[in-house]
Amino acid sequence: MKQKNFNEIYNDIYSSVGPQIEEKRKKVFKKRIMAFLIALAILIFIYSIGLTRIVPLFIIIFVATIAGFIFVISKLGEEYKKEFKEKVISEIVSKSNPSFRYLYNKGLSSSEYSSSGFDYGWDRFYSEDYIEGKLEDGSDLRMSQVKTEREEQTTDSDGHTTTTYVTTFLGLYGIIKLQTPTRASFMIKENSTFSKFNKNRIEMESSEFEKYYDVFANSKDTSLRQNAMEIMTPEAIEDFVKIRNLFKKSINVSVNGSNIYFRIEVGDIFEPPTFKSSVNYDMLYKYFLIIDVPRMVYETFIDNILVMYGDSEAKEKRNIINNNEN
Amino acid sequence: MGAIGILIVVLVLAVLIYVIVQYNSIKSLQNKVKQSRSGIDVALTKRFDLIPNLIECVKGYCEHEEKLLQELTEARTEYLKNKKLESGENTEKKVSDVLLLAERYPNLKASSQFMELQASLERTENSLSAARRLYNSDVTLYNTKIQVFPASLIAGFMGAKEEKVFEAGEEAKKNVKVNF
Repeated sequence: MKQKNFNEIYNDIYSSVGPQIEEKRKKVFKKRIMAFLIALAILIFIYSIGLTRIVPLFIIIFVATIAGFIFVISKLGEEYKKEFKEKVISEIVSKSNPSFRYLYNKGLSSSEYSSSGFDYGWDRFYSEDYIEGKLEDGSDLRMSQVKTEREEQTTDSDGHTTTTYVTTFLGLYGIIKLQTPTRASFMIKENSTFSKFNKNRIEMESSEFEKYYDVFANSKDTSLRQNAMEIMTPEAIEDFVKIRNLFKKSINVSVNGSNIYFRIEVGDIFEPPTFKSSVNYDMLYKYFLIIDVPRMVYETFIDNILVMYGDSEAKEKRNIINNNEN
Repeated sequence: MGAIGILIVVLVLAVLIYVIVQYNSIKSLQNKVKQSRSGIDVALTKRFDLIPNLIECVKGYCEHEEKLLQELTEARTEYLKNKKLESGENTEKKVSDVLLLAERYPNLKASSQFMELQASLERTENSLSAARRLYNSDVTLYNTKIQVFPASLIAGFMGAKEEKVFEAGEEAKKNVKVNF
């Protein structure tokens, strides 16, 4: 069903904005090649006239050339990036779900990211490519690309300290605020060796699931652990394995009361390519799947939550809708 | 005290600490198994508390089904007498059979009281299934702990014995699926 829906979206984009955006990409590509050749020519020139013998001057010119090159490259791409996001990505977003709104230069805040409890060990936070909207039962969704970095300092033998930043997470992060409140409180993270020592860990029946994931209740309380089991049914476990196989990365999910937090390390999302087609099918299908992640998470849990918290009628309505769609 | 003496003391302390840690870990897992077992008991009790209402509701619509209702009442009584988790399982098929009566008696199916009971039973069955899975998960972790060397030596001294995982009985394995 997903592939069929995406084919229609892709054909619309390809025929409406495809040629125009491709034209822009080719111009950017040519200008970037030109900038590279100019920078290379400057470096060859300063080498050929023997400026390398005057080391400080050479370094200044070298650094200035590289910096200038990087500046020009990024400036050249800005308008193309803006148009790609406004015309191509925006179209995929709104056709995936008419209630979704995409704002490429907005993001979630660091406090919204921290509230998930996924990770605290970061020093820098960036966010963009914000999407908000409603899921099937009116549950609110907000998500964006998030990048976190950790500061690392190294001191050499001369006592000079160098500060570098290491990326700790780059991918999609989002929050679903459910209409049906829950008392559940648990987290699913990628499998790690040290997790075996966590006393709140709950072992699931599927060995394939256990290979990729660990489930932790947020306390030792038996009723909370049981709540986690009620939501993580064998079908839900299978869905998590499917998501893993689809993206080749484990998704992290935290359920806490009415909120479901999720994140998946899919790298830089929605960036326009320079060296391949801007309406490349595989790339746009990947972006389409990324936009679909919250729906996958929602569908995995919602039926179990509806039964747990007494709304069997809502579950029955969903079954009828799903059967009609199939 | 020479170096060898210090080494011996350190080794003895290390072994002592290890034994204490493993003892506490085994005890903690035993308690978890007890707690999750009581979770099954709670879920079964909830289910059995619903049965009298279910029987009363069905009686009004299905005058000729006394035998089935009687069996269900007896199964409930048996569980309440001895509280064996395994005997609680015998009622699953009987409850499903009673709920299936709705297919033969349209008036029963349309009854709002019956629909509410169905929804409550579905919630209870999900709770029970989750409680059993949690129990099996805790038993598996505990059994693995007391079987693996060298913790198995400490478990032997403690008299810690393996627990049985919960397995669906023959009746339950016949897989009667109730479509709500």
